[in-house]
Amino acid sequence: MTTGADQISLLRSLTELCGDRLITDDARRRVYEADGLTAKKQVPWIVVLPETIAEVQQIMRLCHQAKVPVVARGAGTGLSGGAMPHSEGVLLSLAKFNRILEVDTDNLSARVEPGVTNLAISDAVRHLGLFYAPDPSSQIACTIGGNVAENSGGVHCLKYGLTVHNVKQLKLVSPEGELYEVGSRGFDSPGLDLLALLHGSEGMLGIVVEVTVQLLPIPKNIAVVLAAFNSVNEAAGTVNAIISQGILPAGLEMMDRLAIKAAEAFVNVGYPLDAEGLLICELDGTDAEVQHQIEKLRLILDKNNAIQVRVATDAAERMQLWLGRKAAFPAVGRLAPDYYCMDGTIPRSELAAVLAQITKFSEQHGLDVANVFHAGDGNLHPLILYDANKAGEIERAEAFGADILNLCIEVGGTITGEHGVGVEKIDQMCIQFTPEELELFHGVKSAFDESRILNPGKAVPTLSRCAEFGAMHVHTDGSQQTHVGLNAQKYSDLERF
Amino acid sequence: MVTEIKALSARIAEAYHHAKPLQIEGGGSKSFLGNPVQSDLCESIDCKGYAGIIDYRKDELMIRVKAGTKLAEVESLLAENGQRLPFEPPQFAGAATIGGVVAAGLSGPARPYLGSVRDYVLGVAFIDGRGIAYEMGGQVMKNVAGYDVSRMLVGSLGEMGLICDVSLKVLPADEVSATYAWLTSSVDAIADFQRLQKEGLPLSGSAWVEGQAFIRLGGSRLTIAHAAGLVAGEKLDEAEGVQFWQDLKNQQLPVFEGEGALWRVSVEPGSDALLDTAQVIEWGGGVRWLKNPAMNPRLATDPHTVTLFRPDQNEIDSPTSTPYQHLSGAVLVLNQNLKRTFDPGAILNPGRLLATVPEY
Repeated sequence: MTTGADQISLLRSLTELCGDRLITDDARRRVYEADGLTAKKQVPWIVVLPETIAEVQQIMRLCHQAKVPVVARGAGTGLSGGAMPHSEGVLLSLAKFNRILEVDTDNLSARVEPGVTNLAISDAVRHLGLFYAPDPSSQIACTIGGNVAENSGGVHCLKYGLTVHNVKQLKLVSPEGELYEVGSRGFDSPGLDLLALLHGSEGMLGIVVEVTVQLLPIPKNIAVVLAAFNSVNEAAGTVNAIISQGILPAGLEMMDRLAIKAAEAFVNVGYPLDAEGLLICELDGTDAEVQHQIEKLRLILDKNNAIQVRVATDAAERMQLWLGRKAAFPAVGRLAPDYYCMDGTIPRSELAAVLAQITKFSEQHGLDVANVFHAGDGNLHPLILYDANKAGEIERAEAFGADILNLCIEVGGTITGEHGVGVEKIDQMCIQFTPEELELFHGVKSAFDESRILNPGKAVPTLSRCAEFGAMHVHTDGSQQTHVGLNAQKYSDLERF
Repeated sequence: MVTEIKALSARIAEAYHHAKPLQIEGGGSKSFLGNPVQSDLCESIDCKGYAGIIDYRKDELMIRVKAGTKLAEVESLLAENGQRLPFEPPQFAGAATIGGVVAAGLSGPARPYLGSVRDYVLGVAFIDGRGIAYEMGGQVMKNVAGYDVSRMLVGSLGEMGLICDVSLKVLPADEVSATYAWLTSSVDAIADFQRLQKEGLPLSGSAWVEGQAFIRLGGSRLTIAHAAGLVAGEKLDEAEGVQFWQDLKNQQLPVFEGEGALWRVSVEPGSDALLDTAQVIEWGGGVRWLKNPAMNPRLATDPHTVTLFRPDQNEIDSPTSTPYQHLSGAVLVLNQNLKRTFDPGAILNPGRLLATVPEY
């Protein structure tokens, strides 16, 4: 943004283009001030809701010319502030791109607009015996465009992969307004794998305007097995035993005592309250395959001292067993006024040690923590309980969270498995990556967006920011600490897992 | 032979400083792949010495391997432990290294059903065109911190950096596999492949070779026994089946032999492009191979879908030789921009992937 005159001229052009789909009034702009990470708020300069690809192109051309930042937004359910607006920028909502354009039952693919919700794809093809595999827990609301931006996972990615494994082709608009395609309807595409690079790029490289996803046949049979253990260690050890013995579950989830108790009190599905650790294992395949896997799994569970095993094969029963797990976040949310959801990934073999260390951190910081996570992937979601109204608790929760993320890096893991960096974890990027690696990321950004108008300031910290962050860490004075994003998550009615 | 990252790094930094192009060498099994690099202008940098398994965590489904390690060594270690690389990379002449597997990004028969090389890459340590070493991705299954550079390096043919080590996700091996064959047209074969996939059969390979369709099922004994009833066609003897898929992925079937270029066309599986000229069809219909066709396939279909896989021996090194792949528009510009970011001196395998070497 250069001068006020430029601003007025851009506003005039955008009004001509979008009419009443341009939002400038304070009350309606405020609707867009945050995504799922509500602790980070910023009212955008203006909001536009284009309806066609040509409009998106024209908006980008105008903004590029005026050097005005553009932040793309799907449903705004992201948990790391990736869609937090820019105060001098355009918030580009893709909400009106909500049509499923084509379902191809021969080639098992669907071509959809980016504002289509994740669940809407599976809903639209279920009658054909097909589904779209990645299933982030916010799937009822989150959009496929947002899923691409975050490379979203879900409970079934152990077997079916992340968004990047299930998207064949993207249509994008460049920061200069050019329309182009990456990937292909086949299996190869020429040159570098730009499709891989664009997944998880958090709206920094291009505006996704169309997505072609891979569909899969719905498995003939599904079973859910619930197993309870006397210790978290035994539950964690069993996770490794299951996988090392050749079973590849569709999902493998774990909850600790506090999460089990909270979930049971909330939805009352018969989870054993005396258990310290609970595993939920979903198996799918042909009838014969599922039967075979259940038998194999039972032996492993017995050998690993499961104190209770329940097997559900019909749909209602399965739903029952999943219900507690799916309700775990809101259930834990009832235990304290606020909670802070973390998202680190660790090697599975470190599970027991990391959980033990998190318990120690919990004592050190004087805050409770409930653990609910994708055990099969080693993707942790510790929920730190705190009360924002009590003096010092926010800071303690933040410090606790930072300790967990640092621990994830220490044991060879990562600061984010599926929620993205956004603004929330931008400082931890300085710990996970070397200055050279961060510079390379900036180089990638420049290759796509030389003028740096797409979602500036997100996902990759500048080296000077890292230097500042490092300096801040030298001080132990709490007031000097940076504000890594805190919870107070929006859409508390949405399932989160 | 270089056996340390530091030494590899220093070597590249020096070459960058002196603007001296380098040709990266592994096992040499895929030296035919890509645009010809003008080897008389390049020094070669040999990665075979940087070899060995860094870490194998069976119960994590993860293996981390130095780039010079032989693919055969990795596959046999996994097999001893009841696991495998699901993307079944070709061995070709047998000397393939893991670095080459990732740099070439070629997957085998199970690709449409179980995913490609890049789908199983968790992390890559590499050195860029200035000699700077990086670790991208990691050893864990889910990681969205930073841009996914490690997956982008898959198939980059050494143009973006020298791959030092690779962390791969592995999967349990199938208890058994079974191959079935029947005589049919290519059109009907593709329709059959698509139908069987939709029926949820545990497919792990599908191909049509000169009038004969083949499928492979993989999984537990029970599953295969059950699925067998749903497949028409004759069951091949186990060893014969294994040999067929090996020969197919390593291009050792008779159809691949002889003079002339070998073209690979990648299309939507159900597409009718070049069906009447392709001698071999793989991946449920998604890949069509044309050996020595009468006409350049880029003139007959969307040129972006066509790869010149093995150039005609007589045309190699000719200045007019046809490029490996066809890139255009914004995608070409992005490829060139990225090349400039990763290899600003254009010294790494110059032009092997991106025929038009960007002018710097």
